[in-house]
Amino acid sequence: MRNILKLSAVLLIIAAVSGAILGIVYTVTKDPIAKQVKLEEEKALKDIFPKATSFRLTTGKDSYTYHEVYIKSKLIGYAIDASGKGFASTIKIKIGLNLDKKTIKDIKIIKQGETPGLGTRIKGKKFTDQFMNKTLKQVLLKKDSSKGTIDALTGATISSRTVSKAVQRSITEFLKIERKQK
Amino acid sequence: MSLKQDFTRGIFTENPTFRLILGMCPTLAVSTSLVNAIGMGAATTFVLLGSNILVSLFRKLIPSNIRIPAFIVIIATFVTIVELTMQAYFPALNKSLGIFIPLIVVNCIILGRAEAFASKNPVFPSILDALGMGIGFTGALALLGATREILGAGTIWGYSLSGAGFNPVPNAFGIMILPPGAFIALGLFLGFFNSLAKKRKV
Repeated sequence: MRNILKLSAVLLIIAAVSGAILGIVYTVTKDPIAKQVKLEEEKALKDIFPKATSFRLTTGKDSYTYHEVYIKSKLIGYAIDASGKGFASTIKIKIGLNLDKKTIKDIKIIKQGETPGLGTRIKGKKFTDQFMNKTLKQVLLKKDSSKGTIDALTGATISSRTVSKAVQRSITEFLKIERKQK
Repeated sequence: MSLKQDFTRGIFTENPTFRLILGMCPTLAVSTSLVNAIGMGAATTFVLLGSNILVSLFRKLIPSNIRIPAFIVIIATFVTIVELTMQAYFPALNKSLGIFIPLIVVNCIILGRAEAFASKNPVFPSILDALGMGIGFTGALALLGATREILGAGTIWGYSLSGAGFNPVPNAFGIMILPPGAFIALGLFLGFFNSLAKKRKV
C-alpha cells in the first residue's frame, strides 16, 4: 500500500514538473509562433499575388474575413482561406481569386501534416498549378466529376480530394457572403 | 564495454533498423526520398540525444516499477519542447523537419535506448550511445530512401537522374515510393545485411 502511494507520488512529481515546463515553454513561444504564422500568411499572399502592394483584411457578413488585394489603390483580386480534413491532418489553403470572383488566380497550401513523401506533395507546384484559372465547377478531381480537371496525386488521392473540395467549398461560401452584402 | 563500442554499436552490430528492427513505423513511412530520410534521421538523433541525457541523469531517482511511464513523459515533454521551439525560432528548419517531429514520439528506438541503455549507464556513454544509434538510424533511412527515390521517382535528392522530360524508369517501379515499396526495399536490405552477418560469423 505504502509502495503504491510512493510510486504514485513520484509519477505525480514527474508529470507535474513536465507540465510546468511545458506550460512555461508554451507561454514563451506563443507570441513568436503567432508571429511566424502571420509572416507565413503574408508570404503566401505575396506568392499568389506577386505584384500586389497591399492586402487589406476585410470583414464581411457573419464575421467572415478575407483579404482584398490592391496594387496601389486599384483592387485586383481577393484572397480567401479554405481548410479541410485530409488523410492525416487538417489542410489549410490560401486561395487567390481574380477580380471577376469566378476564376482562381492561384492556390497555396499553408499548413498540412500529410504523409511525408505522398500527401505532402500537394504543396508542390505541379499539383497547385492545376488550379490556376479554373472556375468553381472545374476544381474537382477528374475521377470524381465529369467536369473536374484536377489530376489527383498518385498515392495521395485523399489529400488531393480534400484540397479540391475545400477550394470549391470555400469559394462557394465567399460568393454567398458577397451576395448577402449586396 | 568500451566507450568506442558504445558509439559504434548503433551503427553496425546493433543497427536499429537493420539489426534490431526497431522504429519500423517512421522508417517505412518517411523513407520515400533521401531528403525525407536525412530529415527524419537528424530529428530523431536530436531527440534521442536529449532523452538519453535526461533519462541517464534521473536514472537513480526513478523507481523501476514506474520507469516506462516516466520515460514516456520525459520523451514526450522533450519532443514537445523541441517542436514549439522550432516553430517559434527556426521557421525554415520547422518547415523541412516539422512534420517529422510529432512522429518521433512513436519511434520505439527512443524508448528502447532509454530502457536498454540510458537507464543503466552514466551520462557520457549514454550520449555516445544516442549518437551511434542516431547515425545508424539515419544511415539506414538514407539507404532506403535513396533506393526508393532512385527506383520509384527516378530522382536523387530531388534532382532528376536523366535529362529533363525523359524518365528512364518504367512506371511499374512507381510502386517503390508507395507503401508496398517500403516493405519490398526493407525486406531486401534486411536479407542482404542478415546474409552479411551470417558470413562474418562462419
